[in-house]
Amino acid sequence: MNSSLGYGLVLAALGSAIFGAVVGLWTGLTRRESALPWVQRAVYAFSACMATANGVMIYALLTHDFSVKYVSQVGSRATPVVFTIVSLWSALDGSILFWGFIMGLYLFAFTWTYRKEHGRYMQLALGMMCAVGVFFAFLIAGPANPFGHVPNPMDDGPGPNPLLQNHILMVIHPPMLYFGYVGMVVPFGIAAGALLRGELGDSWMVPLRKWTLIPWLFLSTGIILGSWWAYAVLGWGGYWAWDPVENASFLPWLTASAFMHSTMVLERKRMLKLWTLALALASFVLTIIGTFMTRSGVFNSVHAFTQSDIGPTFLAFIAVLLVFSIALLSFRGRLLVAESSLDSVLSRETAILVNNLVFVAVTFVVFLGTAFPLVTEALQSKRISVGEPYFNKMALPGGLMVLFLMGVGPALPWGEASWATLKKQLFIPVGAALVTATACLALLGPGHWMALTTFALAAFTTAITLRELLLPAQARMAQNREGAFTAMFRSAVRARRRFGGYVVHLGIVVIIVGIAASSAYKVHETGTVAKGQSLALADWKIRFDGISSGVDARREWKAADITLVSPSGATETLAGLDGPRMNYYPMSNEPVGSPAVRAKISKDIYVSLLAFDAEKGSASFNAWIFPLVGWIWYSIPILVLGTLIALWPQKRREAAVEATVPSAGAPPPAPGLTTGASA
Amino acid sequence: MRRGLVTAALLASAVALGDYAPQRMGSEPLDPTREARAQRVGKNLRCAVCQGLSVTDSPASMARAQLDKVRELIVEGKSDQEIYDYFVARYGEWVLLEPTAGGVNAFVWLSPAVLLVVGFLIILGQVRRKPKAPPPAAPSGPEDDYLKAVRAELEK
Repeated sequence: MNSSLGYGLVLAALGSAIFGAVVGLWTGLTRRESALPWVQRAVYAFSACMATANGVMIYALLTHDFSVKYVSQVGSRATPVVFTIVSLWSALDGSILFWGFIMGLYLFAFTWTYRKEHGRYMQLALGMMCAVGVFFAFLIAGPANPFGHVPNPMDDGPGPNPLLQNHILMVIHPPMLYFGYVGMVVPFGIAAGALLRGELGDSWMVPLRKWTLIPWLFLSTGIILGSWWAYAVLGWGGYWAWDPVENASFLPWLTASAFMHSTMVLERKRMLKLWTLALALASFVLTIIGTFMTRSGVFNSVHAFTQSDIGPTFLAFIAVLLVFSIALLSFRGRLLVAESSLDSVLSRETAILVNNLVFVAVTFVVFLGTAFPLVTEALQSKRISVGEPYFNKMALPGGLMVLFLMGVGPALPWGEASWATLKKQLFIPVGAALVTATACLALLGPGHWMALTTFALAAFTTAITLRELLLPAQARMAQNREGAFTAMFRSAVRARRRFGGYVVHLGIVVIIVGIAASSAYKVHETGTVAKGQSLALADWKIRFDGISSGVDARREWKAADITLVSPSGATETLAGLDGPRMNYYPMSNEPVGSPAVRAKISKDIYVSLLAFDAEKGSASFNAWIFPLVGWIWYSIPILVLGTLIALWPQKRREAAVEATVPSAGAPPPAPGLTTGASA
Repeated sequence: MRRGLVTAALLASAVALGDYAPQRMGSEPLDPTREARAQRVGKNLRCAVCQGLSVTDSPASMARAQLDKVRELIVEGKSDQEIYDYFVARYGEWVLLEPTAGGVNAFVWLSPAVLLVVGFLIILGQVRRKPKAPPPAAPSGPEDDYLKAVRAELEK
C-alpha cells in the first residue's frame, strides 16, 4: 500500500517535472510568455508530489512497514522514533528521495517568491530547474527506488547505521549539506535561463546572487558541522582528512564563494558576465559530480561504479550537463560582452579577479587530487594515492592568499588606487600585522612560519574588516549624533550586503586562525597506562581511574574513567559516558569509539581510547591538546549572522524600484502577461 | 550486498576513516625525537584498510601495526626513504599519500601552478588593455532610473 502510493507520487512528480521542463523551455525559447502560469503549476505539482512522497516514506518508517524496500533496509523496531525519522536520509535511496523533497522545497520557494516578477527569464529558468527535477525524479523512480515492494516482509529490520545514532551532529549535518547541494539547482536554472535568453539584466542578478547565497550558507554550515562531527566522534584527533566525501562538498563551496565575489565586479564594472554565469553553472555541476563520486562507489574502485545502479545514470547526467553548459557558454557567451576593463592592478576589481583565480586554482587542486587516482587507475591500472600531504601543500598557500586578499581587497578602492590612498589605508592594518607577528614570535617562538604568517595576515585582514564595518557607523555618529548602537544598526541596514559580507569575512578569519593554531601547535601523546597511573600530555596529566560500563536502550558501552590534571593541579574527572569510550551496537560488529573532549575557548583536551585490557587493568590512549580548534565551529553563528544580514530583504519601498523598472526598458509585454510592471 | 557498499555513502566519511576496531593494544612510542620522526613518516603512509587516512592518524588496528613497523624500521636505523621504499615494495605506490613527482604524476604537481601563472597573465593582460572607446552610451529611457537605483544600492 505505502509502496504503491509512494511510487505513484514519485511518478506524478516525474510527470510534472517533464511537463514543466518541456513547456517552460519551449515557450521560453519561442518567447510565448503567456504559458508561464502553466510552468508555475507544474513546479507546484512537482513540489507537492515530492513532499507527499517523503511523507509516505516517513509514515512507512514510523509504522515499521517492512514491505517497503527502504524500510526493510534501515528500519528496526528497536530504534527510537527520532532516529527512525532521521533514517530517511541515512542510506542512499532514502537520501535521494529526501533530495527530491528539498528540491521541491527550493523550487516552490523560488517560484512563489518571484511569481509576479522576472517574466522575461522565468519560463527558461523554471524549465531548466524542472529538467533537473526530471533527472532526480527518474533516479527515485528507477535506479534508486526506495519504494520497491518486498513480497514477504520480515518482522524486523537491521536499523540505521550505528554511526548515525552515535551523535546528534550526524542528525543535522547531512540535511545541511543536502540543502547546500540541492540548492545550487536554483542558481543553475537562473544562470542557464539568462544564457538561453541571451541577456543578463541587473534585475536578474538579484535572485541569482541571493539564491546562491542560501545554498552557500547551508553548504558552509554543513561542511563545518561535518568536520565537527568527525572530530567529536571518530576519535582520530582530526576534523578534515581530504577524504573524497569532504572534497565533494568543498568543491561547490569554493566556486560559489568565487561567484559571490565576481558578481560584485559584474554589477559594478559590467565585466565578467560570462565568467560569473560559468561559476554559477559550475557550482551546480560540481555538486552533481561530487554526488556521483561519493555515491556511486567509484572510490572503492574505479571499476566498481557500474555495480551500483545509480552510477551510470549519474555519469550520463554529468555528461549531459557538461555538454549543455559548455555549449551554452560558447554559443550564448558572445551576447554577454564586457562593457569595461580594468584600470589598474591596484584596484578592488583586480583584487577580486585574483581572488577568483585563487578560488578556481584551489578548486582545481582539490578536484585534481580527488579524481587523479581514478584516472591513473583507469588508464594505467596503477593505483596511486593523493592524500592529505598533497592537499595541504597545494591548498594551504591558496588559503593564505585568500586571507591576504580578504584584507587587501576591501582596502582598495574601485577603479584605481593612488599610492597615497594605499599608504593611508594600509598603515594601521600593516602595523597590526607586524605587532601580531612580533608578539606571536615572542610568545610561541620561531618555527611554524606558516602559522605565524597566518596570524599576521589574520590581524591585517581583521583590522581592515573592522574598519570597514565601523567607519560608516562612526560617520553616522558624528553627522547625525546617533548613539553607537543605533549608528551601527542603521549603517548595517543601509548597506546589508556589504555589512553582511564583512561579518562573514570575520567568521572566515576566525576559522583560518583556528585551523592554523590547532594544526601547528597541537601536542600529541600516545601510550598505555595501568590503573591509577597517568599519561603526561605537555604539562597536563591524564590519570586512568578504571573501566566502567553500561547498557542503554540502543547500545552497550565501555568507558575509561579518566581524571585530567591541569598544570595548576586542578582536577576534572571524566567518567562513564563522559569518558573516552567504545560503543557496541547490536547490529554492528565493530565498536564505535567516542573520544572525550574537554572543550574550552583557548584549547581542547582530546582523549580517545585505543584499547583496554580489563584483566590487566590497563588502557591505551591517544591524547591531544588542540589550541583554538573550537574556533572552527564557533564561527558558524558569525557566518549565519553575516549571511542573514546580506540576505535580509529590503523594505517594500526600496525594493519597489527594483521590481517595477526592469520590464519598462524591455519590449512591450504581451497582453495578460504577469511580468514586473504590468502585473 | 552491493547495495550495502553503496548505502554506506552517507556515512562513507566515517567508514572511510577506518573501522574503529581497537582490539590491538597500543604499542609504546619511542623516545620523543624518534617518535616525532615516526609520526612524520607515518603521516605520508596510507593506512591499508582506510580510505584516505594516514597511518599516524588512523585508529584502526591495521594502521597501528603499520606505525609499529615504521618504529621498528627507525630503530633499525633506516632512513625515511628506505622506510617509504619498504612500504612501496609491499603495498605498491598506492601506500604513499603524496604522489611521487615523476612521470604522469608531475601533472598533479605542475598543472595548478601553470593555471595560476596563466591566470595572472590573463588578469594582467586585462589591465593593460586600456579602454580606447568612450564608455558605452548609457541606455536610454526609463532604464536610467533603474540603473541609478541599482548603482545607488551598490554604493551603499
